[in-house]
Amino acid sequence: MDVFASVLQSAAPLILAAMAGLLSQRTGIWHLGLGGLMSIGAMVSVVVAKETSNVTLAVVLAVTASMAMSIVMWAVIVGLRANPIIVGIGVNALGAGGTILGIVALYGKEGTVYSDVVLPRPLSFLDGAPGRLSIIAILTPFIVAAVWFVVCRTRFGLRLTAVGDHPFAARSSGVSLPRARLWGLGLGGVLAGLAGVELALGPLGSFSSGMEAGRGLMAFAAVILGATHPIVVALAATFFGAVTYFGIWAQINMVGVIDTNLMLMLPYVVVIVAVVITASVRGSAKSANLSELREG
Amino acid sequence: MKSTSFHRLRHGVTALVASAALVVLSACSGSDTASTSAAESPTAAASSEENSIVLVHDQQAGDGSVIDSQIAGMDSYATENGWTSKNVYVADAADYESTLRNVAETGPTLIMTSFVRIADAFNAVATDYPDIKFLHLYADPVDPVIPNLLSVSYDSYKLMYVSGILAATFTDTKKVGMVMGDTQALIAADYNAFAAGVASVDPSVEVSYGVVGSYDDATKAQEVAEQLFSSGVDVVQTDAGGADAGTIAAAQAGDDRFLIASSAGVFDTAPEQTIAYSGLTFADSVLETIPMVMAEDFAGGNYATGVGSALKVVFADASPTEAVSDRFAAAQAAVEAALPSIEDGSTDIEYTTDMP
Repeated sequence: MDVFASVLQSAAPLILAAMAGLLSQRTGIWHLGLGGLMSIGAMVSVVVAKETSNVTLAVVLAVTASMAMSIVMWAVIVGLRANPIIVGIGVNALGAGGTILGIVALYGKEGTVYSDVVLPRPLSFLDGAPGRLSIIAILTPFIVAAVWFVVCRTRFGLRLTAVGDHPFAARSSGVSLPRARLWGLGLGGVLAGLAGVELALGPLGSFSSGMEAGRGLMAFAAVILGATHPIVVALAATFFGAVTYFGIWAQINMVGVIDTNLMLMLPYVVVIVAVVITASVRGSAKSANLSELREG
Repeated sequence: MKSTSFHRLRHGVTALVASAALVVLSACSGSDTASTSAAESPTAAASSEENSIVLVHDQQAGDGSVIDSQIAGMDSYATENGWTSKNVYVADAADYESTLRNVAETGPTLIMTSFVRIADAFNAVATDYPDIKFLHLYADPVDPVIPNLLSVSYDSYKLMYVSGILAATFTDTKKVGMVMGDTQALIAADYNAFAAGVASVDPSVEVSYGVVGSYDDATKAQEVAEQLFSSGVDVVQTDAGGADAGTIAAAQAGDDRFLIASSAGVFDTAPEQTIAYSGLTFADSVLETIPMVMAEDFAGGNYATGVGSALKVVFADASPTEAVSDRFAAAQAAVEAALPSIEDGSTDIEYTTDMP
């Protein structure tokens, strides 16, 4: 139970960010800006929680900030026809640098910001890792189920998928491609913001620049590995979280047996190997859902 | 046809401009270096007649840790001597050299930095600007000597030996640990000395470690520390810079979890978990070494410092909790008994840079 809860805690931000990437990918937009949105969500949540001691307000404003940034992404990609990959990289850089700027502007320093309050822990009556799971981590499996239902079982979700896979057909059937992409990116912004909140206010209660530490790109890899299917993507993200957990476990418990630096590389090596295997099994274009951003 | 080409061109240019705007915006916001160099260089050039110090640092400031101590020492020296001072943060290793060159171009009297990752860039720029003095804290000796550069090395591993004595005396579970940022030679030497200190008190005490792989990833540091504490470790030495916030959070998440911190700010953040601060008081070291590098007869070289000057163990004012006050007192006594022979070098502590 402890291991399961620890893996869930480690994987929850990845899963949520991967769901965000999935929604975007389904509308035909490669979302490389997940890390930037997570950083924005993490920073806003900690600042608001520190200043107001109101966790609900912190979550709402963090999600709003992340969604607002997603809408800016949409405007640049769809309105100005910018390359989604370049824009994603820009959003990542903006998330990393903009949060430092925000912290310096607010507190006159760029160091760690601590909040006195953290996310509620509904299972705190349990001992060990389960008792330390935040409400967002606990809700993550249900969010995955909701994303699966919306994407795979509703007309709205199927339209999102059609916009990415068959934009010409979607347009011919009356679907507004820009609007569908706005929904995909906007909802993705909500989920990426939640991922940032979990990262900062889940186990930690603090924000420091760089704390996203490549998790956005790992989430993006999970989207590729899971071929944009919500359940498979969530499993892929959980797998990455589990690799991180067991990498730490091996460091501590297998001293002298496995090199520490190999353990540190392990999550990233596994990501690369998994994506390569997926590409070779499914074909690179299909596994990556390489739809062009077309008007249709 | 022309219209289509025009539209493609327009879209391409628009995309380029939009993307460039995002990247430029983020670059401006993300790098103090860029904005400082570009926006303040006229002022700096104008004041180049005055003596000035610039600290270039690649770890964050503002959380009461090592960089803040360096800034405090620099500001103190500048105030006492009528100099101006400024600190510049460079987050990306790829920007080390360009940032240092930009700073050097503004003509300061002295450029300071710290830690080994920036060493190659720092040495290269020091060589190219012989009229500027360079001070490198927490660095290895430079060979061949650069006449305008003083590197300052610290026997911090000896301080970790003291931490090991403290941890082994304080532990109740007979399991102690360390959360490290990486496994570079200096950090590995810290761990090995920590383990040796533990063994000198009680060889049966188990010593574990976890490596974060980053000095920023507080989330992973929390996971590493959580696994250490869950395995029965009750005292953890922090050694992961900005990621220490995660180790602190893990300590606060359970009972009977204690820290020996590498920065003094932890006394305020986690008073019920922090036994002692065991680390470098950089401010003192800065005040000691700036006059050395500024001396007229300075010709380059290395200055090594041991335990007792800038390297200190500072205990909390009171026991973290009442329940552990006996162990706290015993740990204080053990450290006080061990310090004299460590400071005078009669205790032999091996400098081992390989991880077990």
